[in-house]
Amino acid sequence: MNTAQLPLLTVPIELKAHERARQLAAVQSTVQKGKRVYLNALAVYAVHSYLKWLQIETDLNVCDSFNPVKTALANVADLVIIGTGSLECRPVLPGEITISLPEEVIENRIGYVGVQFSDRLDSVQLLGFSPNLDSSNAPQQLAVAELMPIDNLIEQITRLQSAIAFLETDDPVAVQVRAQIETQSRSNIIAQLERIYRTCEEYEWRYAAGEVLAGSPAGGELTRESADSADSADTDLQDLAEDLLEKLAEIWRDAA
Amino acid sequence: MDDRDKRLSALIAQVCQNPAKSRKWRTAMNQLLREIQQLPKLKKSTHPNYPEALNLTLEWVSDEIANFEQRQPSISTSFVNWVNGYLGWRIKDLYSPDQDAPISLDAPIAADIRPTTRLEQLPDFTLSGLDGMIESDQKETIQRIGLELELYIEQDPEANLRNSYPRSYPECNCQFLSLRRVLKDPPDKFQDLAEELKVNYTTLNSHWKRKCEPLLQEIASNLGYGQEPQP
Repeated sequence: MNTAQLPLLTVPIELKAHERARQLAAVQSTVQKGKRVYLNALAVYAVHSYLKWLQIETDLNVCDSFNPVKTALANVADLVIIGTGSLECRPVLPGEITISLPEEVIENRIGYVGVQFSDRLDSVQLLGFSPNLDSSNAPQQLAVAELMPIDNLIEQITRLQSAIAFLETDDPVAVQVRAQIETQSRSNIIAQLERIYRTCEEYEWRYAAGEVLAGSPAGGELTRESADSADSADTDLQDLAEDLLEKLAEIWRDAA
Repeated sequence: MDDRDKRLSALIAQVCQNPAKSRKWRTAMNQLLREIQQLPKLKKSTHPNYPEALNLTLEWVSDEIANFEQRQPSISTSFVNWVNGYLGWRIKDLYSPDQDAPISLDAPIAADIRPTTRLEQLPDFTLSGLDGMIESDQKETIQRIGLELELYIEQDPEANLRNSYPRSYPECNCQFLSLRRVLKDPPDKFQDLAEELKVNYTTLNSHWKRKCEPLLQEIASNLGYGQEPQP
């Protein structure tokens, strides 16, 4: 099935969304920032409405994009999907062919949705989806033409949710991983592991995933240092990381 | 059966055969939503909150699709009638005065010669009209956290922003970083700031995240803005 040929989904924007966006924009320092905050809020609200149709639960009240202080401090358009992670919903204005990615939206995101605006703000269109990026080597923008169909977002959310569910089980690997990552966010770890699974060669998994479990910023690339300085603690962690990624790969392959 | 009939009947079957919220259910529902949006006979309304009626209807379809029964020979006709049945009521709700919406669109705002309602005063929400609307909203807003924070950053009256920096890099302090990251629009990149200050990128980045951001949050709450979002 070639989904690229399909018409884009349209999401109606209700007055409630405008009302909330106006409140956020009104407290900003400049009209320019107000507009940024307003459009970000509408984009997030639209994706929230869309996910409701698919019975995917989100929580607007914990999003930075709906927080008057956080929106004043950074250009964020995050949507929290309950138990899964944050999805960045970036507005695309008429005539724009790229989605700019401010530095603050690279880490802790499970992916990006491009939201097309036109002059009339009573609806938007969902342009497509891009999965999360390697934070150590992230692009400054995404080309709209290179986005995947929005259908891939469903696939990504399913993957992450099945992996997070695995971490809750009594499987010995899951138990060991839980003890290792107690202070880090599970959804964030899973999102990074999913990216490694998707973008790295299998021989790199051990090192890249080991770094994620160790809590260092995940490069996903096999560096000389990480290969050479493998002491026994590193080796144990890498063993665990490898076991985990193999389990997850199995779950994800079965679901595909 | 025309093409649309074939597609609709296959998609409805797929949705009904899979458990709700499963990947297959969601993928089929996604396709079905596309089809619904292309239905030429979907009810329309000129009411400014028609988007809400449409939104509620698509949520309802997602919940109730298993109860759809084909009553006409053409599945498209039957399906659009089913959807319009619900949508029609939601449109009717928009015009009823006792709508329990969080914003009471139909409540009179002033005892004027002719009662005006908020509904009639709604701006026409357009991209081109956005600057003007935001500008006047901002003028009418007395307490603006964005503005108050920026003034605070500039003045730093208790020097707590200036006094927070990574050891031996006093220039890399929270006031300087906030001026470049919050007041400057668009903001400077962390990489450029690190080069300018001759500070390691990771040092600068983690100082911003671990010290400056929490400090700015604290300043905002001292200015009277809680962490909790507005209702």
